[in-house]
Amino acid sequence: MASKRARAIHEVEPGSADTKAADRRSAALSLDRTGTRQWTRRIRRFRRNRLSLVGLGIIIFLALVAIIGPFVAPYPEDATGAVHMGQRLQGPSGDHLMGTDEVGRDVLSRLLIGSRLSLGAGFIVLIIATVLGTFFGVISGFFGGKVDLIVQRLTDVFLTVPGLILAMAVAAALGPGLVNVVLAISLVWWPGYSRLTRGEVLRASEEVFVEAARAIGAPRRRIILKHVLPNITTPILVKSTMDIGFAVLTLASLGFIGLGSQPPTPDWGKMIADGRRYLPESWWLTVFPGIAIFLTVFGFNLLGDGIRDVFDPRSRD
Amino acid sequence: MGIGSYVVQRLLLLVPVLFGLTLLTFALTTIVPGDPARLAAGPQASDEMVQEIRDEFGLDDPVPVQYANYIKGLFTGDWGRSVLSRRPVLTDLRAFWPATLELVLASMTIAAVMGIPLGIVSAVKHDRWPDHGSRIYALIGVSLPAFWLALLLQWFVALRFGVLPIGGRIDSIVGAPEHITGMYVLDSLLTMNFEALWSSLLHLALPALTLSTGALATITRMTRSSMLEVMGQDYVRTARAKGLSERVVLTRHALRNAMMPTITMMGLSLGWLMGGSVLVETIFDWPGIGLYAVNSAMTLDFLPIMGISLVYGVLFSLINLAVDVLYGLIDPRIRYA
Amino acid sequence: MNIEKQIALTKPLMALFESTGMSRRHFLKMLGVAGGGTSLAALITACGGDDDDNTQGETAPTTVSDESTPGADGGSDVDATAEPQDESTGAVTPKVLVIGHGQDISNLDPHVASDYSIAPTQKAVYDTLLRFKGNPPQLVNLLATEHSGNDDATEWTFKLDDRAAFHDGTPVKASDVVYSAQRMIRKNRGLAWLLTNVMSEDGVEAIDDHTVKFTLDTPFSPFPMAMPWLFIANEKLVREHDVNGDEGEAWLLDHEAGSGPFTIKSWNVGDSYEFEAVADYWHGWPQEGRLAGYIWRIMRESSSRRLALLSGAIHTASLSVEDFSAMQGEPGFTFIEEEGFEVSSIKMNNQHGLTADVNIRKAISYAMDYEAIIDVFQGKAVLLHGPLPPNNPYANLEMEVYRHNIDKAREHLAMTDYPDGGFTLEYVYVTGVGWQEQIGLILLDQLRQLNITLTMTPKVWPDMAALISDAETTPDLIPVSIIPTYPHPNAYLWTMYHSTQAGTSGGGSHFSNTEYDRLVEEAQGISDEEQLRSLYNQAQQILVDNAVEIWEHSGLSQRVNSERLGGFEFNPIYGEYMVDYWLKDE
Repeated sequence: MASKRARAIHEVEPGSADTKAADRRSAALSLDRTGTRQWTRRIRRFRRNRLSLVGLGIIIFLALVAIIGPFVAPYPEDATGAVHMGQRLQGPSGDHLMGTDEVGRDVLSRLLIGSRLSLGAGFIVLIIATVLGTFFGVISGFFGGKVDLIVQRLTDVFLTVPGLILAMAVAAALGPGLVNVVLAISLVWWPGYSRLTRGEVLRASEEVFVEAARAIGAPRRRIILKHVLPNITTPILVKSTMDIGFAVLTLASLGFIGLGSQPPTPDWGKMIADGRRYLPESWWLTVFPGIAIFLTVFGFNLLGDGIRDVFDPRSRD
Repeated sequence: MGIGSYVVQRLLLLVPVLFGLTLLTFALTTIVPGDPARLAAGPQASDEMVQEIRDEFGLDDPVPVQYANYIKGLFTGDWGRSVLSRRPVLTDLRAFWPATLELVLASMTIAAVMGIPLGIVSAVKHDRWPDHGSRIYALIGVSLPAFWLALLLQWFVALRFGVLPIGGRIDSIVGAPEHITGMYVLDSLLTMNFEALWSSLLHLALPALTLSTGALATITRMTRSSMLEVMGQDYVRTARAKGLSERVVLTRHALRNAMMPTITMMGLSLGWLMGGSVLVETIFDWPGIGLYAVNSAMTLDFLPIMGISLVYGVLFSLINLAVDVLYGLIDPRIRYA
Repeated sequence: MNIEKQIALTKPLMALFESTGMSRRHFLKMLGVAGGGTSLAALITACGGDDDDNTQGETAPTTVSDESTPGADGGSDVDATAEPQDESTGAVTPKVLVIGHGQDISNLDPHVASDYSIAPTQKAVYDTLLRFKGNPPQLVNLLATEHSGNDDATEWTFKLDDRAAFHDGTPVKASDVVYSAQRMIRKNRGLAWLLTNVMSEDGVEAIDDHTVKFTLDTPFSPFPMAMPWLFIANEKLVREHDVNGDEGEAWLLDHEAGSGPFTIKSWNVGDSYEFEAVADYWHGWPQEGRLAGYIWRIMRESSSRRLALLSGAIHTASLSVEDFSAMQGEPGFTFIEEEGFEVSSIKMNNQHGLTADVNIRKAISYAMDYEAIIDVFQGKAVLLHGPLPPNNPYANLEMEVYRHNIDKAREHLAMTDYPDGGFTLEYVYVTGVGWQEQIGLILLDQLRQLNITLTMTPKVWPDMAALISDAETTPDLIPVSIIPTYPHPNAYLWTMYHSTQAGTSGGGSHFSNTEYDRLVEEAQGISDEEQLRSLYNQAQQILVDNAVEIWEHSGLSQRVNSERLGGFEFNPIYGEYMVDYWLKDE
């Protein structure tokens, strides 16, 4: 490692227009965050943080559930339309580990199969929000001027209304259904990422290596892709990790109001809303889906917290 | 540039943002399926009635004209009429607003009263058990679905112990206190109506507790991190070196400066709380703007939604502006770019 | 907010932050943030229109006191002593009853709005010529002292009680009845069809100050049964509040112009509505006692109402099946479970789409698992026997009706263009109504066996009603519950299946059959029981042969009352009469 670095420094010719040399120079200066040594250090830090490991554990568990859930669910037909009126509202038992609901469906199976939809939808929301948000944030921060002004005002419009209310309005307008809810939440979330990205781009633009790259006349696209983007990923990564959990929570909130997946497809939020009528006797209908949602948000929060600590130790000490 | 011109500039920028907001919500109404005239007329209306309503509200006009009329109405106090309540939207907003404000303020108070000390303790004993404990507590608070917590509290606390009521703002028999601000706790205090004060406090307890969990987490963490940052600063070390007691160091030097980010966080949490109040109001039958928003969204009654968005939009922008100005006043190093 | 109140608000905050040693400057700025919020609120308050949060009825104020003047005796059906009787069964002093109800009162206008949440209030503040009492409901005089009809049921005459007076003191006159009927017909909303189906605006006249005559365009023997829905309003008062020709509609939304036993005390939309009793109500009060007033609280969830009952916050409410059975055995309550007149059925589009084919409708009718529907209500429902509930005296119980039979379903499906299924139907139901969703799931499960896919789409009721109004937009399957407005088979058979009624919520199936029309039209003019039975039997058979809709169940009404509530009598026609109730002392 050390020898490679040393070689890098020596191979650079002062005053050269070789951009690759400029890259190496800045890497050597260690202001750039993308060195390999940094990564091993980070992973070690992460492993030391017990809570983050718990979070990671939870996420892996949930991912497993989402992937293999539908195959291990004891009564998968209960998520695609089967009803069994003869065994409704039964408490947790050997046959039904989490009990049955108001039309006799197995709660565990519905939770397992619903997890794929809830978690998957959460991911998709984040992907859309981060892609859109990053794109607008970068062009806004990097190009400045009129573009910046327009994008800023646009994000302002979305950010002045409480997210849930706007998402609710959009989802209600589009009509119930998982796709519409995902669109609604993504629409409400991308401005947050745009703001964050823009701020990071502005900050990164002032760093030495970017000024250096500009000074040697490197093309803008190259500067963005090679210098700016890699260095702004940290806060975006941290935020989006925690936000996956919040996305699942928002999806569940809208599902609770009835705007998410429609019957017979299971939706965690809707399961709580339906189960509410049978409180407190049939408590399992609200408790188990709630735990599922809580676990998801909690896990992603722990993970995100851990990632943040790894990249930005100042926030902990 | 100076504060004055900064404020003016921000206020001016507010205008296109608000216009954008009305445009956005207006655009939503155009995608809504169904005939708003028929919805307003009611299921038993005849075709002529529906046409009358179309004429009255100009629903046959081209969309830009309708939008222009709506904007004009905003300035003259005509924010449209709610299909559900059949009252002017502005009247509804006035009626429901104090309830939400009361709930949000109460939640903020609980979050601050519990969160700030918790944050201080976490900072002082950082990386030891109280810190880890409060961190986990904060994380749990932020991860709990508020509507789920509300249900659990309602059923397993209110029902089980029978002390706290399960919904509403006040006991029907006791009746609301004389209307001054519309916030029952405040009004009963001001009119010395102690029966109403007690009843309204009891009714406020569970909803405010539920809503405060999220804000509590953020305030705790913010206090902790800003305290930590401040405690590592030179002037604190100086104070310690001077031999001042830990307590004095904390309160007079560290805390005062650490509070600033926390207070701004509180201001920003107001926004989070207002959004979060939606589901909490729904579950506790709390007649505030959140419940109004949910009912309106579910019945596709969009004029109230537009009104609510506008109110929140103005509020948030003002709060954000105030927070930014605060920051700028405290820390002159921040340039108003 | 004026300065004193601002200071009052800041004092506790000052104390809190004093302890943190923050500078006053910081603190005041923070206050500004919070103040910004409240000032804006104040701004909105100032900008808004006039203050109509707490509306007082603009009738003459009536004081609620224990010393009430006894009403005059003579000729009325209900005894008129209004003084609290200490000598009766336990002391009864006027008290306020609190009711929890799931649906909001959207509009109090007596000639425009009607549903099962609005009706009790309309009955409390307005009077009608006749009213229903008891179960099974009997017609009883209220504003009218007597009524009669001619031989062919085309002319009906009512004589008015000369004691009757509106809340502002004006006597109730025949001209007010004429005005009310005509206003209802002109507005043509709500229950106006009760009148417009049989008469026109000029068919009502005041013979003298206390006699009204209705002249109908077609014979209609159940006409007096429509009278409990014609609320008599104070013509003078309504005209005073006419705004741009709306005939007082804007004002009557949350004010009243009636003569009834209660007046409006406060009106908090979406929250609670308070009414106080008119102590010297012209008709008098039940001899046991009366209420001082009542509060109608909106509590949307049955579980909330259940908790409120247990904590004593409300005295009476209807509960869902689950909450009702969970509360059984709880001391201090009476539990009322009664068969009503409600019919719930799944309307099928008889005109358009795949359901226009009678064999598809029959296949679906046989596919439905009817026993499972009873399970949805935990046994607290009865299956309909064809279009009428089995407790209806005219239900054709010998008729064969559809019951779960997958083989027969397949037989009928084989007669269609899709013998192996392979198509999709849409079931549109009211969002948030649990049992409609559960029944949809039951049907979905059964139809899968026929290789038919059912999609379930929730919508809000006004949206659905709008879709139903046109045969082309009506969904394939729509669950609708109807409570008839009067206890006569005509209220079901004509109101829901006559061809002119297609497009109303009851007529959501868009059924049109000339023979059927002829039968029910003829029945309208007849009062002889044998003849009626023969006609209605044939009519029901036609409906069943055509598998017009899936007739499901009639739900039992599940009502929980505090033991202190007196005077309660289950009323299967929607809308109870608050005047009958009182609260016993504890």
